[in-house]
Amino acid sequence: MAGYVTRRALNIIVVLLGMTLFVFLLLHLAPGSAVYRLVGEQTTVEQIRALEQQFGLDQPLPVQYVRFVAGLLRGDLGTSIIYSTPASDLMFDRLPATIELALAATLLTLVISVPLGILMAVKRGTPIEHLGTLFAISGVSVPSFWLGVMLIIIFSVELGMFASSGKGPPLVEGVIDLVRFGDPLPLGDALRHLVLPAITLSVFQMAFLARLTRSSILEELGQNYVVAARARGLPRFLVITKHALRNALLPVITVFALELGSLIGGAVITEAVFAWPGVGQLIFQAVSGRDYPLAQAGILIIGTFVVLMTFVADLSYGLIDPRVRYG
Amino acid sequence: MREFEKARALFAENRVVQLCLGVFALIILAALAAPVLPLADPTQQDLAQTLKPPFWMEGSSPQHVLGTDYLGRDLLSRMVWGSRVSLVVGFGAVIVAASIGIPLGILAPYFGGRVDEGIMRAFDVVLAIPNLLIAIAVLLALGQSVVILILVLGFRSTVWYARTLRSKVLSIREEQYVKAARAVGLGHTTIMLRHILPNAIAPIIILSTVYIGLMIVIESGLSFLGLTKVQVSWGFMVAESREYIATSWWTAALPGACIFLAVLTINVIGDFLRDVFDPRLQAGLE
Repeated sequence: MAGYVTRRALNIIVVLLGMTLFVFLLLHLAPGSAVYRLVGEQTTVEQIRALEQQFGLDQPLPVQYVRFVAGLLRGDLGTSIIYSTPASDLMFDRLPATIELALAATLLTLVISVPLGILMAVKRGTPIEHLGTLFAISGVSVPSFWLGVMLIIIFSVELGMFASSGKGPPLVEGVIDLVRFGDPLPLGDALRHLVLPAITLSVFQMAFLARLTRSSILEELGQNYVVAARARGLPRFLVITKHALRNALLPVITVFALELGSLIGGAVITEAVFAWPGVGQLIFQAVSGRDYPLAQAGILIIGTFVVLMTFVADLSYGLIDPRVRYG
Repeated sequence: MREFEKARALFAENRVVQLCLGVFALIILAALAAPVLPLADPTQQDLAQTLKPPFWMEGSSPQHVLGTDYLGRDLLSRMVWGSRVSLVVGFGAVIVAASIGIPLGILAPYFGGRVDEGIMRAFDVVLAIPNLLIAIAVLLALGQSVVILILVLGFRSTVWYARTLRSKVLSIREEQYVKAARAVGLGHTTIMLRHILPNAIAPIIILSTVYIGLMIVIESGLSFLGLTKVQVSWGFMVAESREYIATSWWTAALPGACIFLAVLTINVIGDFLRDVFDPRLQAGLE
């Protein structure tokens, strides 16, 4: 197991370095002066020369890259043009909101997709399966920004059930207030803001994983050990839950971990639709204001997060399935 | 090939797939025929006729069948013209991805070795950054053009073509008929073109269908964020109309429904192809 962890960890360092190189080259090899992308376009030629020296842009590229990575390791993600503040400060202020939204979406995905997938596999050929299939194929086809806007039109403009934008108090605070002081209002406010964005962010993964769970279970149900268990007289329910499900969920877990990346990436759009004050909305502002350093910082943070999540998923996969460790 | 015969037979009895193919073909036809269709100018403003509802609602205007947006521009015309960017990006990115990914996915594993290893590592890096974010980074750094967008999305999707083909090639390489072909002295090129490629066609077709849909979703998302600088596109229409949804929901609902319909129909077709050719294949959908 130790060898497996080391191998995976080394692999991750390579991937992270590759990512920084990509972002770095994008900024420096693009036509036109990198100064424009670092400080905006209101600059004269003399200012450009001065700034190039200040940022070390007159140095050879390999030297610049080493400095860039060294800066990243110290937590220096560059300076935002529109806010004139370190990009890292801005990002880390927004991180909790994004984590809350992503966790809610993840939870929603798991709670709905896996049981739905099981149901679709067990009720094969019935209207329940057809309905599930309809949901699954619609879910992977709907553009999330449009779904978000439609949810706002229906549930907030027409029915007034949920807020159309912004964020309430953190969900955890709401729960604490309810348990400690018996005050349901903060929790209600938190949910009123959280539900629609969480649905919008999770629908694609929810549908995708439901399909995967279904096909994975159907594949297991055809295996000899399942047939043998049924032949020994075990009830169908027990065979599915105790035998087939355990094996069927392995690929689901892997894919889910890989999908977390696109889920987080999707937060840019969801947060833009719902004015959710997270990293995604900040990236959206950076994009609208052509604030390259800020956008770059956001991309590096999210990319790192994705890589780490994949690492954790790989490790847990190794724990569940012993074959992986020796592979 | 027997598989294509089977596909034709299954297609003949599957009404849903026929309908979806029809709708998707109609969308492509409308996009191609946009210049010759009797449509209003999609950029023509008419401030006396803003936010008119579609024909089935009260207060609709006879000149504008599906109503108008906040600048009085004809929605139907904008929806037909707006389809062009989505389709160009969808098909364009898939063509780029296939034309690089297919040779790469066959050559690298066929010869194996260090190059193959190196390519797989490079893919890990590419996959670490979500599709949408790579596109955002590149569009911001290199400028917002449709060509650049097609290239970025195409290059990133290359990974999935190469990976799908790789697993196929690795298994086919060990087949008796390939070994026999080598033994009778056929060259590598002949083996790859005559024996490996035809066997890998089914997964390529399925992957391409799914990817056209995925690329359309990503393009519309980027247009929604204002990153493609195309004035008439489905995604940007939804973005422009967001402020008016409280009073005129259709201005955002209709263009978005076009994206949904286009992607849904092509996904149903992709699903059908997957069932026909390879029920076990899980295309690299992200």
